[in-house]
Amino acid sequence: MMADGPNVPWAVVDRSDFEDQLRPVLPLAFRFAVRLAGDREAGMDLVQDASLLAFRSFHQFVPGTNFKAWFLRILMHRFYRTRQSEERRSTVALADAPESYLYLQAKRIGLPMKSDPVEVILGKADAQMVSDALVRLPAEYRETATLHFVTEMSYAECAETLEVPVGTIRSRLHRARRLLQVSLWEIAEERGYVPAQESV
Amino acid sequence: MNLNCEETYKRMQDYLDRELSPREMALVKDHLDSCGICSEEFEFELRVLRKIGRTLSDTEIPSDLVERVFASLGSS
Ligand SMILES: [Zn+2]
Repeated sequence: MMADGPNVPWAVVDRSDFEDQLRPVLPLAFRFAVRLAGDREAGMDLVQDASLLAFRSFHQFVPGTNFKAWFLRILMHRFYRTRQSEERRSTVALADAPESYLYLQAKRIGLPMKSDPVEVILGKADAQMVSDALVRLPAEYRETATLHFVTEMSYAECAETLEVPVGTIRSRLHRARRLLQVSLWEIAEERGYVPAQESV
Repeated sequence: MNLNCEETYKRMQDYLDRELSPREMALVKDHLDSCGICSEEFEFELRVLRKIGRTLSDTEIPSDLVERVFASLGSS
């Protein structure tokens, strides 16, 4: 709850100090927000909303700690607040996402490893296709994978941002990649980029 | 100490993310340098991760991003 009164704390924080901390984080936050929200316009709205919220909460930020993680945490909270009612549905089966799925598929359809097999499978994949693949993942896997892919933050920084233990980031991320490979292959099949699996 | 294929494989994701200790990073690299089977698979995984990362980060930054965000903070 945000307390409003004649002496609200955010009114006295140093705005230029806040702007100095925010400025270098904005490009990365924008990239992340676009992937999270789905398009540029929604991404910009999200970054602006999060910036205002962060400014008003800046008195809670502990100087010397990780501003980037703090800001991205606010941004994610903001995102989920506005998406509360949206049904989060995943279609990729969690139980049996195999290891190295794309590698095994590449072997199965006989792609030569000396050429660039990843280019054959994912060469036509654009940001929309990868986003579509991410949407098929359960929410906690999707957010962890998106955060790590877009920001390239360490497991520790992702853990700080999402407020979960490092071990949770590690297992979610590894799992998310396995699921994402299945999901990317499904889409590549649907779009005819790769030969569909014959039914047994 | 040397790692076998299975021990190497278990460390693949952490290795690709550079999240192993320097000693473990070196152990995995030693195995990859000497094992064509594992190195082929690691190379494939690395390319997949790079491709996904590049694709997801391929967002043009608006030239007026900072100005727009700062303006939205209001004039307080
Ligand atoms: Zn091996």
